[in-house]
Amino acid sequence: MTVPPGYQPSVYDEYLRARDEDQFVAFRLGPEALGQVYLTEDCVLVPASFLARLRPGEPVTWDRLMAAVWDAIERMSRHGATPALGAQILAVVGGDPQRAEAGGGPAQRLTFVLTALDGFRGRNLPRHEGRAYLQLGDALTDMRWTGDAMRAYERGRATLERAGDDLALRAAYVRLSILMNSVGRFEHALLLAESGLRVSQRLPVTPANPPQAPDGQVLRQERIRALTSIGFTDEARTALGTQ
Amino acid sequence: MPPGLLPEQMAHSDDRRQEALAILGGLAVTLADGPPDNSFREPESLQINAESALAGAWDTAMREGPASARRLLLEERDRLTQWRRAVTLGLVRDDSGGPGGISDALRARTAALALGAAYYGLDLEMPPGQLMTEVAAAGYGQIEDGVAAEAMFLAKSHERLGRPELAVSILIRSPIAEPAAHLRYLLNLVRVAYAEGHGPRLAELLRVDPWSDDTGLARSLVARFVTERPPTQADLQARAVVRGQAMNTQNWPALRQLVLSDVMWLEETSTLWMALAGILNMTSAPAAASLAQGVADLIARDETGTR
Repeated sequence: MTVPPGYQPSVYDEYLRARDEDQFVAFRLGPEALGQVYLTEDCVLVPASFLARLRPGEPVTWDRLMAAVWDAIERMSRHGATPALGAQILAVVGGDPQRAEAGGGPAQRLTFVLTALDGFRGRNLPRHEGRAYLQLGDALTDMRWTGDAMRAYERGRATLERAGDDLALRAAYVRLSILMNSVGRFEHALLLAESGLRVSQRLPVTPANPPQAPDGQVLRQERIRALTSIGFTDEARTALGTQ
Repeated sequence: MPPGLLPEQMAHSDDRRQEALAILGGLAVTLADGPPDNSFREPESLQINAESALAGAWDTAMREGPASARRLLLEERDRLTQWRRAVTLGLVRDDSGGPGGISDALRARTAALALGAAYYGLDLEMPPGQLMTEVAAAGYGQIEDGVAAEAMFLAKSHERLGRPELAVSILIRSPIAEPAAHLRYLLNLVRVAYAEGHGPRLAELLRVDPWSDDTGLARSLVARFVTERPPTQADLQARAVVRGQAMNTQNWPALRQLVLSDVMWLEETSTLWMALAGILNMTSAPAAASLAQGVADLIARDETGTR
C-alpha cells in the first residue's frame, strides 16, 4: 500500500484492513475538518459505490455525503462497537443531527452517542473519547438532562486536556460556561470562560482555527454575561469595548 | 416493591423499553465516578437513605481516609442517580402521591451525597473546578434546603482556586444557615481579596442589592475596606483620643463608626466584637448586635481552644 504524503493514521485504517469485504473508501474532508469538534478524524468512510455513482464535475453536497456515511454505518454496525464505528456515528450525529434523530427523536441520538463511546472506551483514544463526551453532553442538554450534561462535559474536558486537543478543549469550556451561566452559577461560569479563553489564546491560527473563531467569541460573551450578572460591570464594559 | 414505584410497562412498547434500558446502562458506564452501577433492572428494591450513607462515609473516612469515604458516597450517588434516570425515562412511575414525590426525594438525597463526596474531594486536593461541576450537576442548589450548603462549598472551592473575590460574591447573595460563622468567613475572605488587589471588585460588590445579611452589618463592615485606607500607627493613636472624646460626650454614632473600623482593620478578637455588639445595641440595631455577639462567641471559643 502506498501512503500519500501528509497522511495521518486514523481509526479507520485498522477497520479497513480487517474488513476489506465491506468495500469502503475514506473520503477526506480537508485540513480544517478537525475544527468541527464532532469529527474525530479528518475523513469519513463511505461505500465505494457512492464514489462510483458520482459523475465527473458533480458536486458532493453535505447531505449526500452524510447519507453515504449513514449507509456505511448500517453495514459497520454488524461488527459491533469499534473505534471506526464510533468515529462514523459522531460524524453523522454532529454533522446531521436531524438524520440521527429521525424516527426516534433525541433518545435515539443519545443511544447512538453511547454506542460511539462504547467503541472508544479502553482503547487509549482520549481525543476520540473526549470529543464523544462533548456530543454526549449536547444530546443530554437537548433532552434537558442538565446535570448529566454537566458531568459529560466535565468528563470530556478532563479527557481532552489529557489528550492535548485544545480545539475541542476550548469547545468543552464553551459548553460548560454556557450551562453554568444558565443555572445561575456565574462565578463558576466566569472561571470556565476565562480558562477557555486561555486555551483559545494558545491555539495557533490554522484552517481549523480561523481568526475570530466562533468558540472564542462565545467565550468572550459568556465571560461578559458572568461579569455582568455578578456585578463586575466596569470590567464587563471594558470587555465589551475590546470585543 | 417499595410504595411509590410501579412498573410502567404498559406505557412502553418493548422497543422503547429496550431503548430506555440501553440508555440507562450506557449512562451508568459512561458517567459513573465509581464502578459502573448496572444494578437497575426492575423497580424492586429502592432504599433511599442519604443520612446513613453520609454517616457511613464519616466512619469510613476515620478508618480508611477520605478517598474511601468519597468512593462510598459516589457509589451511592450513582445508584440513586440511576433511579432518577429510570423515573425520567418512564421505566418506573412515581406513584407516591406525596408532595414532590419520589423524584424530589431522590434529587435531594443524590445532591446531599454529591456534596458530601465533593467535600472529601477537597480533602484529597482534587481540582475544585471539577468538584464544583459535580455539585452543580447534582442540583443541590435547586433544592431549598441545599442552597446555603452548596454556596458554602462553592465559596470554599473558589477560595481554594485563589479567587477570594468570587467567593465573596457567592456568600453575599446566598441564604445563611449559620449567621455568625457566615459573617466571620465572609470577612476573612474580604481581607484576603483586598490584600490580593481586588479592592475595585469589592467596591462593585457593595453595589449589589440585596445582600442576604438583612441586618446590614456585613455590608457596612465590608464598606470599610472600600472607603477607608488602612490605619497607620499614628491613625490608631489619634483614634484612641477620638474614642475617649466620643465616650465622654456619649456620641454613640461616632463611637459605632470607630468600632466598626476597628473590627475590620485590627486583629480579630472577641473583645472587639463584644464592643461592637454593645455599641450596636446602644444605637438601636439589635439584630446586628446579636449577630456581632454571635461572632464574638465564636472567636471566644477559638481563643479558649488555643490558650
